[in-house]
Amino acid sequence: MKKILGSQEIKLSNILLPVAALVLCVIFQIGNPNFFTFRNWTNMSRQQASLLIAATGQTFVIMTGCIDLSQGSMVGLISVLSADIAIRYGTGMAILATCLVGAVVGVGQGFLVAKIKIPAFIVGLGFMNILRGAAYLYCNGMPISGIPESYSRLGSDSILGLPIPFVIAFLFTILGWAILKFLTIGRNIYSVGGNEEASRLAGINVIGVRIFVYVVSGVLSALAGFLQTARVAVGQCTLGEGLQMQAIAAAVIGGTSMAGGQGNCLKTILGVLVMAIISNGLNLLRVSTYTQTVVNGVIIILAVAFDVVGKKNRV
Amino acid sequence: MSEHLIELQHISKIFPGVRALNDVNFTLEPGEVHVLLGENGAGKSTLIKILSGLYHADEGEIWIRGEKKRFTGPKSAEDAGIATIYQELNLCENMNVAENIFLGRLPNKAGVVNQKLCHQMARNVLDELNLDYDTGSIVSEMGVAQKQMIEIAKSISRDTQILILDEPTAVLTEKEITELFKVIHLLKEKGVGIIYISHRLQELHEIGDRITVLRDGNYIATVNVCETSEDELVALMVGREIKDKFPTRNSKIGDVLFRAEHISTKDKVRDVTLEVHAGEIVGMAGLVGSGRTEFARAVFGADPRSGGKIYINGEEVFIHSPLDAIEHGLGFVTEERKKDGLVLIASVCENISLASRRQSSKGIFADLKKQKETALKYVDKIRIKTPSLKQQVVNLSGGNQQKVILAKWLSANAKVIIFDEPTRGIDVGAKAEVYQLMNQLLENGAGIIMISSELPEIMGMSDRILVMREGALTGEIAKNEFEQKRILSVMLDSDEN
Repeated sequence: MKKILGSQEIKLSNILLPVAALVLCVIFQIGNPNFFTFRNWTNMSRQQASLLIAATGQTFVIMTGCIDLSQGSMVGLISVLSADIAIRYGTGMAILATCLVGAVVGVGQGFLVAKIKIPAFIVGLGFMNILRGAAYLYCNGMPISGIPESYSRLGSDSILGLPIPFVIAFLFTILGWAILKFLTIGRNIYSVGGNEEASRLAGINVIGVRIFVYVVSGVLSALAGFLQTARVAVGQCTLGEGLQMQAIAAAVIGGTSMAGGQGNCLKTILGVLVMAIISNGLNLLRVSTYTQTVVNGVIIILAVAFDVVGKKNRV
Repeated sequence: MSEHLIELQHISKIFPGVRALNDVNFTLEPGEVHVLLGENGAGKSTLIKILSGLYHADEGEIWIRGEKKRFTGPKSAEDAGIATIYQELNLCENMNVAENIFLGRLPNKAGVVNQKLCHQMARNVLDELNLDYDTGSIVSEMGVAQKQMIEIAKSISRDTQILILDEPTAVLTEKEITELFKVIHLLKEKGVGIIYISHRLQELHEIGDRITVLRDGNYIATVNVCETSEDELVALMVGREIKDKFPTRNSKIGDVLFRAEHISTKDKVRDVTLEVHAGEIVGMAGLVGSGRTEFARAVFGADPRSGGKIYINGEEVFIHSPLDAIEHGLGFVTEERKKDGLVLIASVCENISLASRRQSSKGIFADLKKQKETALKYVDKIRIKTPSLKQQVVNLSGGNQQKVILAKWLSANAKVIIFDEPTRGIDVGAKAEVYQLMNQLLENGAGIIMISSELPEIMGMSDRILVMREGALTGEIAKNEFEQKRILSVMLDSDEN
């Protein structure tokens, strides 16, 4: 019985999401005829690439029943750090440092959550402050300009007509989907999210799984920071403010269960699409960023409310 | 038409693909204990959920005291005077008895709780049930039986006239059951009608008036308790006579397969040594809390040990985590399969592969094809009833869930399997199947440690019985000495032995 309802629900969200996206598109098109232009959509995909890659990372963490609140601050830190390193040692080193910092922070967060058993929420809040603070300290609050062209072109160029940041984010999302589907660690993520103790008693390294999802989220949010910096071509410690909330909203809209155990990176793409359309549409309608912040807050609450209420009805 | 307390007419409940209830009739009279009997999946819980307003019947009518009702939710069932007490109790553990009884209805003046009145009213309710609990006791410090009584008191304080008890005795000791029955008799005298669900056939004669048997969602029969027998009931339930409740086995007891030596944990297990031979079931008897589960968890590496060694085939092995245990061929069928045995929202296939993911991996890649084949093999072999491998296990019956867990350990090549209450909450037919599977395991050279609180089961299945009390082994009883009284006396440490 639960199964049937469950699958109905999944079908519903399968249909509901594209329909919602379409309805939004129509509304925005009526509001501004520039909405359905190739240029607008390539712009949108360039702008929202960092959200896509962050949402993929967030999907991994939410799958285990936690959330990663530090993503936005990671973007800020990576922005100034990678800009500075790129100027001094080249873009290659900047990429390396980006991945490294993301992974190290991920290990740290995962360790605190999985081994020390500090609530993920608190660890996330802590790292949110630590990373943002570190970003301000690193650059003294000043923007870092003059990044090499090899770096900024990763943000502005296109391959086959598609913006590079979007292509990169998309590839990583597909990679994330494949990890969850085909790798043993991916299957273990589903199990740990579904029932931690049963997984532990079946010999699954629960702590390892939890650290892994944080590393994924850490590295991907660091890459989000890198891509965003490449796009704006300047290192800024304020970059990425609130990105984690949008990423959580996108993952949940895409059907990732806040309780853990259920989720799919491909559907997260749909969630990102909805978020992107809303934000782009509101821009085109000249809605102020202040209002947009309010809208984002409402969206995340609505998305989680749907998830929670859906769960309640299933029992 | 005479006025029944409850009359259900032609109730059907259809879930897409399954007819959970099919044209079921049922009546309940004031002052009657009407037992609902049936295997898991027979439709008892669906019926109860309809009566408590959680589900809607798709067909049929509900009449309460001659009035046709349509429940829109749990609240409307409650308003009709129906209270349901589930196995999982709904109490605020951190609050006291009086507050729990009047939860949500605390006597107050302008929002200020009148504590004195609350305790006084609670006292009255408890007195009505002849319970001498202190109304100020904190619920978390009370036993399961007492908590259950508080739930009953809570429903009585709401003028409940129809009480549904879902397997109330499953977690109680003999003595506590007697207490519960006293309260039930009191309620009967007050004219409360009771719908009673239990798997324990023995107790029905003591407590029931009529029994309605359901099977596969169908109404089978209603019989008077005084005119029936256990054999008849079992036959009605399963639709066939079960001859071999404990099937005979042909396994030969071989060499020592597993030896745990001086196992201790910080507080619950003290210096336990035991051996299991190939082809042997070692039964572990004891009261709840005697440390049997803790011993099993310690041996399996699920909880830390403070001392002790483990040998497999005579060689010492080091088990510090469930992973170590699995790699050395141990399996552990836990007591609460929903809590720590299954990933309920995951599929049958995912659950079967849970403990063997390492074996069924190619490098970092999961060998999904192999996992599917293995799962399919066991679904066939041990007859797991499921529409597909993709079915979420939450939708399977208790017996089939247990089989999924068994399949999980079989595919991990477990040679020594610890069964903790292997047939808890599963029905008669499935029980026999689980026993048969255990026998097959033994015939293939495995060894089994079986923890069980059901004496007939532990006597019927074990080759020898070890008794645990307060964390230590207190006796070993050989097969030819099995006798309920003797085992009980060792468990309780009376002087008879």
